Amino acid sequence: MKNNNEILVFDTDPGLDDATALLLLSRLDRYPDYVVATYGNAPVETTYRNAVVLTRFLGENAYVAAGASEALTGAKHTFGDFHGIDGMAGIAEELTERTGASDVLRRPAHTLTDLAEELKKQENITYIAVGPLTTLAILLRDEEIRKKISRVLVMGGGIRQFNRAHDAEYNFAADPIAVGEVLNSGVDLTIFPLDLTNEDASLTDAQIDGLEAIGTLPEYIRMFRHNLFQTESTIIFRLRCCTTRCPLCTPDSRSRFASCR
Amino acid sequence: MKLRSDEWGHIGEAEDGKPAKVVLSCQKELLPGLLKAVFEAEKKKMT
Repeated sequence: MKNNNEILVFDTDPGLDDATALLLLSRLDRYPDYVVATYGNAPVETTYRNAVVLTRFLGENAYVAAGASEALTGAKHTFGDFHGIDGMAGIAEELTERTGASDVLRRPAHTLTDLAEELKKQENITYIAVGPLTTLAILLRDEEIRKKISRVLVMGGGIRQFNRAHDAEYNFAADPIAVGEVLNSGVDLTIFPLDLTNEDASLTDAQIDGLEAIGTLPEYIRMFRHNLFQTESTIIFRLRCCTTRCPLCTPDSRSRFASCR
Repeated sequence: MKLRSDEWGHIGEAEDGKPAKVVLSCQKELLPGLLKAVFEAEKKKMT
């Protein structure tokens, strides 16, 4: 389902929302070639573990690397518990055992340095970032890597809606220096702001009930329920690349999900 | 034109360089439908 030998990099801080993004990408046959974990919803050690166990749980075989652990601003990042203390509504340990991934808790198989060298071997990279932009900014400082990246899709920023402060969106506010570097890097950049997600890309209690009735992925239902509890009325995803107008979702791939139209 | 961000990550005015494209709308209720399709496919695999 890939376009023209496109290499897909997914820069993420899972997180229930990003876990859902990975589920949908997997079922669209568009699972990333590279999954890069960054600090954000949880420390990078935690998001890396989550990225590994989700990849294994979904039966995918992606290169998973540990990305940035702190912002370029040098500011100490504060981690909340919106996604549960493990970033996965309390099921990360269970998934770790079930997937036999306990080894990844000791040290990452691939570091940011490893990833940089790996990306230099590739061409036609589509880079999706749905967490803080620190890792991407660091990679773009390398001219050789920048030339390999055909386009960048970013979930971040807000126009009228914000979730970090009264006038800031979480991903951009986490590392404004990185945001500035990415914006000025000259890459082909498309931004999906928070506004897209708060109204249209949400699940209601009734919709989750419906999924539970037909579903065979109870782990994901548990994640939805957790987030539903947190927000009382809806579950909100930061999944912009599959649910909006992302060019990754071709008409052909969307047609496989006829019920969504 | 160049794009800038302030200390909160806000996107500032474009100066020179290549501006970012900002997607301003999405297909309403696409996510629930996608998820339903995923879960239905999973159910079929199980039966």
